[in-house]
Amino acid sequence: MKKAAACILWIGILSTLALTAFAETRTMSWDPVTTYTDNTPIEAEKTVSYSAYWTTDPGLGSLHTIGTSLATTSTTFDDAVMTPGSTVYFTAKAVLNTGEESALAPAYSWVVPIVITPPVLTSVNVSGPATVNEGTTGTYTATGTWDNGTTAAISPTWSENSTYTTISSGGVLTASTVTSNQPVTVTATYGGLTGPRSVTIVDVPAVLTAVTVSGPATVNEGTTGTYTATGTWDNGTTSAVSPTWSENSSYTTISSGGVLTASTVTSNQSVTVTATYGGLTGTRSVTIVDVPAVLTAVTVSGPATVNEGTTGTYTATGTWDNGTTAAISPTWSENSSYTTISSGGVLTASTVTSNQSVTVTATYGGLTGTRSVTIVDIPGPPPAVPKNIGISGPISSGATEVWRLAWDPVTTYADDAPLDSGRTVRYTAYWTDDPALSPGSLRQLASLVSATTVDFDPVARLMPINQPAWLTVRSVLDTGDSSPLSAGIQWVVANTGPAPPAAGKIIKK
Amino acid sequence: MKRLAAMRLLLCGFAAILLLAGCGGEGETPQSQGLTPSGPVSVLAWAPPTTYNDNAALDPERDLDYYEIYVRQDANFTEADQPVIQVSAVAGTLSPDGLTVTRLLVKEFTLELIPSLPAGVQLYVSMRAVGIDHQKSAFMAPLIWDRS
Repeated sequence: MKKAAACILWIGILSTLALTAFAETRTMSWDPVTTYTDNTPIEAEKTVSYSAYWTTDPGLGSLHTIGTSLATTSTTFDDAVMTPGSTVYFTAKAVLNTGEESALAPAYSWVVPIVITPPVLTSVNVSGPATVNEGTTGTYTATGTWDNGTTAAISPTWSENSTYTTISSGGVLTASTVTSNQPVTVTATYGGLTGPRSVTIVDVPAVLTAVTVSGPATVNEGTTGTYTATGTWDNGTTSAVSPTWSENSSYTTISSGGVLTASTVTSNQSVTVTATYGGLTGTRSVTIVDVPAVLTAVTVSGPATVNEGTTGTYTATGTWDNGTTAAISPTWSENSSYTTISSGGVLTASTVTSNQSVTVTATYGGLTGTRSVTIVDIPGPPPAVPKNIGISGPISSGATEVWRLAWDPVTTYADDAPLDSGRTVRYTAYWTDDPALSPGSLRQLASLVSATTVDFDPVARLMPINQPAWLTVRSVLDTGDSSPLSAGIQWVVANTGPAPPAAGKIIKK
Repeated sequence: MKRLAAMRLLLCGFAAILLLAGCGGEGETPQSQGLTPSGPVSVLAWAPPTTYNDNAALDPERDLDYYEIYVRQDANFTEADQPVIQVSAVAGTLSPDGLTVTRLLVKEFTLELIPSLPAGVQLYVSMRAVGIDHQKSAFMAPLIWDRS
């Protein structure tokens, strides 16, 4: 009797993850068939294999083969071909190696599970400013994009690749000062993906925030002061700038180089020095100081000559360092015995016998001014020429002989008018070997003596012996006026000494 | 003019005058030999005056004191010139026995003994006699001193 294998009594479905994300391999298993339908054991020499099927028909129509000739009591299938959420039915049958087959096992229903696959992150995008000015910050955010088309803000790990920047865990990029634009890449790392963002750290030109003016707070009148300007920028730096200079006083001017020139002022004056640069201005208040003028010179004016017996009036002028001059009232002085000077600068010259030099000095404010003045000897009427000149003597003898030259006193002027009261006469006597009494040959025997005699030693006076000599006298008034020479009287100096040696000769020996 | 007649005995050895006038000359013409120059010399010789200017008699041994010698580069001797040396008018010579002194008139003088003369130029020489009363004579007629 031919026996049929018993039916498969249990079928189960085991699921397992497929190798890929979107496929799932499941296992269908059943109990082994070991008996025939009459429960008699299947002979050992016979082998049982199985065929497995699935269908959407609860009546097990339209079977889809999962596997045949299966030696095991399980097999796998892919539910991808099944409609998730739908009910499918599984069945199997046992087949002996003899060809005998069992009936299909009862349908095993199974709802194809709806497999929900997690979305896969496909990209990370970084948002935020493409440029960040130096010294400022920029905030960056990251957005993830999944394969299901969704996007969402994410909290990535932030990083950057510049020495000029740092970035916080919150995505805040801090840029330090740069001297030129600097590139930096901000990177958000999330879910194994990275999102880069190229950012430029911008070298922002500094903005001038202030202009300050430096220089002296006071400038003396007639002098200059030099001012400089310093710019201050918003990056905290300062540097000298070349501004446009201006000032607001009629007493000052200022050059393009900042040199303030102060003119003369009669009292202290205020001026504001302004430096304009980059649209900003800086100012400095300056006082133009009225500096007391310093006397630098005293000059004396007045006649260069004053005739004897007259006066000359002198004035003094002061010169100050501010260029002004003015008449001053100095202390007057002079240095001659022939002059006096009054406090008003009137120089009085007495009688002189010859021109005399005097220095008139004005002293004022510690300075002196001088003027050289000549007291001019004005010729007056000359005295009469001495008369009755004669020689007598010798009045002494011995080692030397002394002779006496005498003349009458002069009591009149040359015009025979009596000398003025108070006039005194003195005499100068000469000898000469020139009968013409030439001035160059005259040798004084006496000078300006009051007496009317002169005693002299001819030898001591070097008068030539045994040769004629002429003697003459002139009178000299105390005014300096003098008479012509008197007529010369001839006189021979007799030598009564030895005769000279004779027969002189020079013999070579 | 007062003339002193007093004798004045001038002995060798008084100051420059005697040094330069010297003693011990040959014969009766003593002259300066205190400083004897070497080589040929020029000797100024003269005749002592025997009268005054007024022709009165003068004893040179008694009335003369010394001579003044003048030197110039021209012949124009004047009162302003200064003598370059004084030479005693009379020299005394001690006898060999040292008991007597023989007085001789000085009539010569070796010109090379004059100190500080300009070298290599022709000179004129003159002299004056000076009495014991200090009266001086006129200049002797100038002499050319050929120093070649």
